[in-house]
Amino acid sequence: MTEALNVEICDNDVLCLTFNAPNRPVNTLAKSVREELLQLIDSWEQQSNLRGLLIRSGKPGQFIAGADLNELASLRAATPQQIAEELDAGHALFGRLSRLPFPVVALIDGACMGGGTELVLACDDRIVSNAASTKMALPEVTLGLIPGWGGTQRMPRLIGIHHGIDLVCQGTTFDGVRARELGFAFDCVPTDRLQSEGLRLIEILQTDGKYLARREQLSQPMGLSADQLGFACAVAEGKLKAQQTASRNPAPLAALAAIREGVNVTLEAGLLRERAHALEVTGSETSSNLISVFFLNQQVKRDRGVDDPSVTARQIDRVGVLGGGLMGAGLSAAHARRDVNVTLVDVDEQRVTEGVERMKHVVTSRMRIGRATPHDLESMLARTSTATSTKVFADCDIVIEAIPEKESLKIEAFKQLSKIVGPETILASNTSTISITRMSAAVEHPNRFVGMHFFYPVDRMQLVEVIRGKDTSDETVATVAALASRIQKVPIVVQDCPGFLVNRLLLPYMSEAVQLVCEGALMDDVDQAAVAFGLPMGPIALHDLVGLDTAYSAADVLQKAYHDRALLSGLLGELVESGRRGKKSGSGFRRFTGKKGRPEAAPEIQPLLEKHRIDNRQFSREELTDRMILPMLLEATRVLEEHVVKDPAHVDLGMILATGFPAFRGGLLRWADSVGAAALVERLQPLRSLGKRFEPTNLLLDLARSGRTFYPAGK
Amino acid sequence: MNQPVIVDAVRTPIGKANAETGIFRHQRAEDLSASVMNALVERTGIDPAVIDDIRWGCVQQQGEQGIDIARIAALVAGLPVTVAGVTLNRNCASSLQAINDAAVNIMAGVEDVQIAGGVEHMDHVPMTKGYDPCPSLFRRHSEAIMYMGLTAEYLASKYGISRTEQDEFAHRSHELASQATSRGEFAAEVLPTWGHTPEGSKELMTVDQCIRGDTSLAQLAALPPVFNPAGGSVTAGNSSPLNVGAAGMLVMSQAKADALGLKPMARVVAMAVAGVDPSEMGIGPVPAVQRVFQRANLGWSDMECIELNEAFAVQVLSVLKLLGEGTDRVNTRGGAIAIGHPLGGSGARIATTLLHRMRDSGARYGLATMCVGQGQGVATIFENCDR
Repeated sequence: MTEALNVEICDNDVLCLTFNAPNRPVNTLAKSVREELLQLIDSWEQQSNLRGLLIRSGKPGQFIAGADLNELASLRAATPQQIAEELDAGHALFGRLSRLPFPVVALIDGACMGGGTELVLACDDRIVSNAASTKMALPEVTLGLIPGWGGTQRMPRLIGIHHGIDLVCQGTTFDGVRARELGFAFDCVPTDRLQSEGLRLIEILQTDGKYLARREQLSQPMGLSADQLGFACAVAEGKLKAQQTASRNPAPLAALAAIREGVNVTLEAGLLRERAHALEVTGSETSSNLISVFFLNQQVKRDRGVDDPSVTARQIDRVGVLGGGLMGAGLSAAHARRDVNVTLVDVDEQRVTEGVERMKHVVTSRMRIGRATPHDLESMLARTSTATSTKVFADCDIVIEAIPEKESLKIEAFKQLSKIVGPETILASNTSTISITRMSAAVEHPNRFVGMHFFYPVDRMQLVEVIRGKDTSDETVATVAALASRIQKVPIVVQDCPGFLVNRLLLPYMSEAVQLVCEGALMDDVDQAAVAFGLPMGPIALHDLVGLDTAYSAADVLQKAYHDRALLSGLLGELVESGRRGKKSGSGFRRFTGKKGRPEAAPEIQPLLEKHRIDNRQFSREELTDRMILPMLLEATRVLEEHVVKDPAHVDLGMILATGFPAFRGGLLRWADSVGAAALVERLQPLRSLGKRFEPTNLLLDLARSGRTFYPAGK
Repeated sequence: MNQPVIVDAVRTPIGKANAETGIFRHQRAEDLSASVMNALVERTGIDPAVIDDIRWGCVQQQGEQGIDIARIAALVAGLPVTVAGVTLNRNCASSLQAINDAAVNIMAGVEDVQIAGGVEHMDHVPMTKGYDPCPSLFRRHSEAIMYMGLTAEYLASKYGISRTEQDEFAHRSHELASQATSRGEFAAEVLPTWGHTPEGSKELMTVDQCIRGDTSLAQLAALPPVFNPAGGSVTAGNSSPLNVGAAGMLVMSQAKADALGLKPMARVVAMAVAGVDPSEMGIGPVPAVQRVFQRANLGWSDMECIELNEAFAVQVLSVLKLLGEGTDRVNTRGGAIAIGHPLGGSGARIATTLLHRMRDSGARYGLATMCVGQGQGVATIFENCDR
């Protein structure tokens, strides 16, 4: 066995335990590592002559990342018996660590997550570094789990009931300064002082000897009054229940129950409550789906966008952005906030100024909620330069076009840009509907032409579709994907096709919703069916939010391209013509004329609705859901058949990130796998008469026949 | 021991804290305070030089309410520079505390003639401005102790007060306040004060802005719970609104009043403060009232007039439930749910309304009590000088 733990005497009978898993980028608490630790604890338990133990990491910027990913993956298929054994082993290990006959201090530098945080909670104290990479969290609830190695019990005992509930039930990440403020850490110091401060703290603990009393205190009931505990839990429960309506994730409430039942009894009894609630949620379908989405993220984030390993991404020092509108300013801010130099160009001074104001707004609105500082604003502006002439793009490594969505305008702009930019410069378009291959004819080097489709609002939407045209080179794709990753977005490479990935799948769902309304379904029922399925809002509400005109022109593009199946609603067209462009114009399918701009029913569209009425029947919720979700799924199978994206993971993550497809379902194709291809074919049967858009594709029929799934079994 | 007496009590109308429609959106906290101080001098005809000190309650002591607004407002009012001023904070009970402190000074033979009251401009200086609580406060307490609405929700579940009871109480408050207004019962206590109508014309304001005589139980029942949307019962309708206003009274010893030939409204009989768990701050009046009764050797039935500040309907109802008392004699001219709750000014506002009720009805004893954020209660008993 290659050893992940190294022990040395660092000073005066103080031991230093270093986590440094060989040949691995991060330390984990894999089973083998836990066994090594257990052996060491075995050997230390009788050594009361030792002065203390420091625990640190040998990997700069990485403390302990938490569970081993393979072990995490296997949790999805583990039996309750296996899960219980894991929980008990963890409790036993950390229990023994917490009772060593000398003080134990963790020196945390870098990411300390999940099990890593539970390990340091079992120590007598902690010193954290103030490095930006130092982050701590108990993120288990985000995977549908709860901390099961003592986190639900030791965290509130250490930092108190309120923040304990917050960190455990919300999975909140905290940095070094916050760790000191919360009393999680004794102090927060520069990385190079960690070791000396650790030794000094061991001396303090040995000299005053109070660490033994503190151990005793932390293993006792917290002694909260009925009001203190009852109130804290009641308030948290109200908040968590409201969140659960959307997330369908039972883990936060299970974690709260573990805290409520565990903190006013002894630690030993509390750990049993934690164990009981951990067993409730671990291995549940929601948890297994959330873990799958976690792996989707990991997989897609590792993807460089090209298969050829010899291709490398080019260095990007300066990004040019043409157009200071909502998207242009948004993506300028996205780059400049991540320390990428940006040159923003628009036609005149006023538009440039407005663009910069929009960029500032991105940061100032974050400052209002405490997510950014004035320093962030300064540093973003320091990275930004502006001009009213495209000539300044001469020294940019990439220029992203974000001007109005009109093909002739864009082609004209690219013709011009092509003449100005350097021979190696990449030209990218932020178009959402126009063919990249067609536009690439306008430029001198179509191999360095690519689509870079950001979503609105850019600062909040993580997805970037990297659209590969017919002639786009591997190097261009790799460079743009690397740039998107650098600004903390998730790039997904999509072969050029109408609608790309997200709109190609989303529009069938949106158009079907309008169709249902014309067939007699109530708008509220349609929206409620989608929300009940788990989508963040219904398709009718979504039309009003993105704008009926925008939805119509996207549907128009898709209808022309996929005329055998895509719908283009006359109702939608007439609503747009009558000036009902959605929330932005004050009315669409619903109206937004009240004081707070909340949607209200709009009876005045009834005549239009009657004009486009096809039928007037009632729908069950199941039928509404199938009608909306199945066309989206079938389009996803066509996308796979045509190799528009690499694999199911890209489809699922793309839809989760861009449309809020429910993560608790694991993604669109993961959901389909859980239903089963054969069952889906059966559910499509009664809908076949509606046309091609409900016809099972060859891929789906293949899976149905063979009993296989989109994702390989166990992945 | 000197006997403290109240010579006069007056207040501004209470405005809504709203930058677009609030009647005092263009009036500052110092100016509102100064107008109350001047009114007390003018109405009683005293020589302002006899005033020793001003005790002014204010919660958010920053911005226009910073730097000892008691002293600033005294200077704004043009009172002699010899009149001192101190600002004090016991959150919602700040100005009731100001009255009590003034009384204590008199009893102890320290300062004699004093103006006691308070102010809050919750539009210009919002309640949440500069919010930065100490993290270790929340080791044993939820941070929700800082959010009064959440503590109110807790009372609703702990003491089993239904949404309907809360709405009915809120409705009562608006109805009574509206009737009192139309009968002119506030005329003696409200100082006509310059402000702006929602439409923008500058006028002398005489009516509290938040009273809604036309509200109905159906309207109240339709409002969504604000603090716990999933299953809560506390709404904007059964809570006090955010307000702007000032109130104050002239306090001195009986002997001084006699010497100046003044006819006081009431004597201060007894005072008390108490602490309760911050999670149920709304029940603060319960131990405060029990303690003040013990000190005065009086009981609930002796109190012919009672002003129990209405931070939330559920909070008043919980207090009454714990005390085993009903709503008769309580807030018979409406309470803060209708009239408003300008934090630092509210203690003096309810005491002002109480003294005018006592004078109008010839009541002997009156009780003013209120709950305080983070878990306190304050209570004061007054006795009518005409009885």
